[in-house]
Amino acid sequence: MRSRWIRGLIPALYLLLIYSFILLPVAVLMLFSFQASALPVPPFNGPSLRWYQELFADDRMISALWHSMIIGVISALIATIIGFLAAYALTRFRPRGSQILRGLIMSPLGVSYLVIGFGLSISANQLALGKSLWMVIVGHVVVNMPLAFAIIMSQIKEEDISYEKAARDLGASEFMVISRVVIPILSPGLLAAFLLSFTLSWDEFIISLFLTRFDVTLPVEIWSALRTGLNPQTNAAGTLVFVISVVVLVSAYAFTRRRKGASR
Amino acid sequence: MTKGSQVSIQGIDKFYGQSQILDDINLEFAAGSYVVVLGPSGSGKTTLLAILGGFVEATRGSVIIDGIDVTSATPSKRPTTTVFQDYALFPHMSVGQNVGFGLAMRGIKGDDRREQVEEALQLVGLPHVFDRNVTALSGGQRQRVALARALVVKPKVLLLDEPLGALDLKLRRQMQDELAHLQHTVGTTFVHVTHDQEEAMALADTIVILRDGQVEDAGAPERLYTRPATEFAAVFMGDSNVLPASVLKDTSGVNVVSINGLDVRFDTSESAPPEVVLSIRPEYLRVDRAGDVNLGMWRVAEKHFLGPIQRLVLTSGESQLNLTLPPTHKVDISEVIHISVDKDSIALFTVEGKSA
Repeated sequence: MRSRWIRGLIPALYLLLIYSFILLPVAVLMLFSFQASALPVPPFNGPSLRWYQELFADDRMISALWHSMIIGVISALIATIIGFLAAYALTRFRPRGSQILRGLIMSPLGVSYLVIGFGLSISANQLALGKSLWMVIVGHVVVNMPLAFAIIMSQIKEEDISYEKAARDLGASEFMVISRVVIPILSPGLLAAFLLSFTLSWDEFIISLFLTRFDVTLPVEIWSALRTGLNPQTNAAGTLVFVISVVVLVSAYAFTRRRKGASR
Repeated sequence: MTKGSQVSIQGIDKFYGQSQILDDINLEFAAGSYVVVLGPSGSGKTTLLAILGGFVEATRGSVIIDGIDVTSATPSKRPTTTVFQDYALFPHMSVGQNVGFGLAMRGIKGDDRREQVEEALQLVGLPHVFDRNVTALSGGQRQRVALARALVVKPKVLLLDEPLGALDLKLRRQMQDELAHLQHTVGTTFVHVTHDQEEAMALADTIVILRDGQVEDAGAPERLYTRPATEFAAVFMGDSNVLPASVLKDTSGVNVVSINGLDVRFDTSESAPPEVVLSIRPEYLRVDRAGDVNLGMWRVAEKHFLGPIQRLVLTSGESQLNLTLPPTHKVDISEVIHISVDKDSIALFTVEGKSA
């Protein structure tokens, strides 16, 4: 009886430790974003929304937040579109050398963000494009497209080709087949790819740092704020980044689940 | 192209790499006929249907529908539609949207479309499912929706790929009757692929028997059943007694066939080879001496009561015959009975199985 109790306790303790290790820093960060005094260190004397108020009054932070939003949406959209086209072409038409093409598409995943950011920054200078938020979009498409591609590829089912055949049989042009049949059937996967790409872009730091100068993204703005010292307002910004990421990721997960449920 | 034929299949060959799936297929289907392409799996029947639908390109030969060569036309440009084996109903659309898809692709909108869709659903006996989700339908209902979706665009030829294969036996027989009725109502040419000979006989005006990519026989079901062109066709179209026999030339110039050690006078064609194979349906054997051809005395080895009929297994030496009789006919096991058969009920083949 006693030994069973202990046997149940050990895994529970282990899990508690692991999850504390993972989540405690985030929990502390979030807690001290509600700090009433000027330093995000114990003792906690909140809760107060003071620093959220200051955050939303901070023009630099808010414009960085908008930049991150816009970059996230545009880069995720481009990554999803390119990823979809590549995945569809490789699964349906199986061109010669499709294994190699697939490897090439996936290859940015194996390259560190540092190298990609640095490389793009040099290229931008060489091509006289300079640093800008547009270059960040390019960088985020480079790193997120392989993921979008992999997610969408995994959702394209061999059996679904019969829907495409049926559509063609009923007089649909290739454009109609893709817009009326392929995309709607794949929509949960496409949304999941879009949302995941968005979150990865949303809190991506290194590439954004390399490719921005005056207009920056939220993670870069938070980083420069941190350099000037600890401040609960930075905690509030971090909390915002975290909460938005979680919401988007959970929706992405829900959409892939729906696709699995629907195909039975 | 023969006069009166709507679909003309001319010299179709299909190779996948080195392996030949179809070998010189030549067929003509009359407008408004119900054609069943029958064959075992691997006979090439599904490939032939896919070539008619435009999903597979023939290696050689051409397909002509209503005088127009459609050999290289894509599926969307052909006057054909297909009922797929798995129905392939669009899972993200309602029943009404599924059936209306083809009309939408033809630019038919609004009330016009709705009206035609309702009409098509009415035709297949599903009048109240317009807004239903296709995933909420039973197998038989999906089948009907697939039929409505394919018929609503008024194709010249409707292609059906094992349409009843996914249904259970009872539903299959029911749908079979409905398909026949439907074809009669709409008058469209149906080309239906199956491996079920009972289904084929119940539905077809014309049956095409395929084997290893070649046409073994094609024609009306009655003709195929009573006078099959090949031994394979005879056996595939239902039970048949297959007996080896020798052909001897009589002094008077008439061929005499020796069956089971018994010489019977029997006119065969002049060119009949010395060794032949006879095929006789079990129900055509007579348990008296009144038939044209006397088959001698046989012993009843087995008797099986099957409800509407009884089936006997007869033996004589090494030979064996299957025979069906009305259950009212009293026969005992071990009884020795006289068997005869009418000449018209015998199909004669060479030992290779070709018509002799």
